[in-house]
Amino acid sequence: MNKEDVNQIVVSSRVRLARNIENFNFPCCLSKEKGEELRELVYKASLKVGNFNFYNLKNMQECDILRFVENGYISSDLIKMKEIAGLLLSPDETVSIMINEEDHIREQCVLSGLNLKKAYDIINDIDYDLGKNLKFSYSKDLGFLTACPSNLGTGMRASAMLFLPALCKSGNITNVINTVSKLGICVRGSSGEGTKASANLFQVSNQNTLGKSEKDIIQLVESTVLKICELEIQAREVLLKDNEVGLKDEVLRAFGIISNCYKISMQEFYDLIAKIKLGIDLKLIYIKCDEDIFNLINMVKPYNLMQKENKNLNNYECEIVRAKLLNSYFKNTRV
Amino acid sequence: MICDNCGKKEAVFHSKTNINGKVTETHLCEDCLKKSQYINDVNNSFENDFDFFNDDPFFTDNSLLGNFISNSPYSNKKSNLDYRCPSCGCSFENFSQRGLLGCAKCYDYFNKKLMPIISNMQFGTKHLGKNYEQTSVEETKEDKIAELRRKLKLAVDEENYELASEIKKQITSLEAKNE
Repeated sequence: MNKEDVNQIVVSSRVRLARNIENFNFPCCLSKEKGEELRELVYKASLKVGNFNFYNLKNMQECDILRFVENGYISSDLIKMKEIAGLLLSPDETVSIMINEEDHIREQCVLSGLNLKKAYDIINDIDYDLGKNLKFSYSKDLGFLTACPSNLGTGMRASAMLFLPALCKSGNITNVINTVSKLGICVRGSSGEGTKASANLFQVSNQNTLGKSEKDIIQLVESTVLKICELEIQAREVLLKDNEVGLKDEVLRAFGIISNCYKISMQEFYDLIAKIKLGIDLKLIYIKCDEDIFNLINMVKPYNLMQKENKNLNNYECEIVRAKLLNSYFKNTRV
Repeated sequence: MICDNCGKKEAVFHSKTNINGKVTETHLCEDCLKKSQYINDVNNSFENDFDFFNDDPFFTDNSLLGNFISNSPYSNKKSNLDYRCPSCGCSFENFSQRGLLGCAKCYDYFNKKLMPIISNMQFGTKHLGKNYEQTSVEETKEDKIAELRRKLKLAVDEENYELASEIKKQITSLEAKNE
């Protein structure tokens, strides 16, 4: 299995650390005044750590906040804490730090491809500097203390976003999920807990955070991810061998719709883009573009479209604008 | 021994609690005991945070305690006087409902109840990840100057020149130190 194969399947890697600051209640029990004080404290500490853009959610427009959710910089849970919530975002948008979500601080780094070690190194450096300027809640026995005991210890969740169309088609995905869950690995829909798998995308992450070192957890997630990649590649080979003509037909039909439709919902877009991406990976279709076509996913989400169009759009208008964007994106591609 | 609560009747309940090394003795009469949080806590307990009756031979027989609680009119009711974390005021019931603790001190306070839960949901109960020790919170001279410069910029942006000049003086005097 070469690196190119792996990076076709592993769309992105993400490492997040949960931290809390001493002498403040956890956000769920924090008063507005103390919450604001904490947000200011973290912001000040961040000035000594690196170059971040700071956002006070209270002063932000709703559409901008929702666009941040679409792009994965913040969780939708952070909106519930709007009064005291904040965000620190690195200029290249790979590092984001949520303030006053479930924990005081949630630092995350997202990189493309299978890059968990590098993502950890980046976020660990930031965590080290933040920890010098803030006093984290920590105990020798239980590690970093978090609002939910499920994040205790390392406070770390290492996850990879995997594109698994062949395992979905063959129906083996359920077996894979059940098997890896016994190893302390959790497989969820692409947008995290409780979400469905859009575009055959799955998030694979460690279930436990206490009782293993960060290095061991990353190794566990990475080795599991590689094993799943192997199974996906095998399933793709079977798929191609069994029905290449049918598969190619499906891919080209999807391409036909996405480049000619007049309006398109997110759900239909997810179905089509998954087929096209599989077609590209299997070299059934050649598309000339500089970037991964999965970058389109965030671009065509409603609040990203609204920002691009610089106006509010209802659902119906969104579908039309989305179709227009997709038509032009695929216009200059050769099949 | 007289009841701690009403100060009138003879105490029938004696307990010593040890919370983070702080030992507290409680002595209650039968009536005050029924009204107290102790009933609720014993009743709800699957593992108690507190060493009930350990030091009193009268209460070493647990069947007696069991009888007493099941006969109590409070046995199936939940009292409002649940034990609460002294730091944030959250009860263990709050945690059971929302799955979140109120503050870091809850881990000490509810330790005995939390440990079986943690042991169930985690690889283990001992942290093996990176160690954390805050190296220094003391601001260096450079930190102070950087913070003052930030304030100076804010003051200038707000056209508060009086404040700006005051901050500028502070920066100059800091810079002059030890030079």
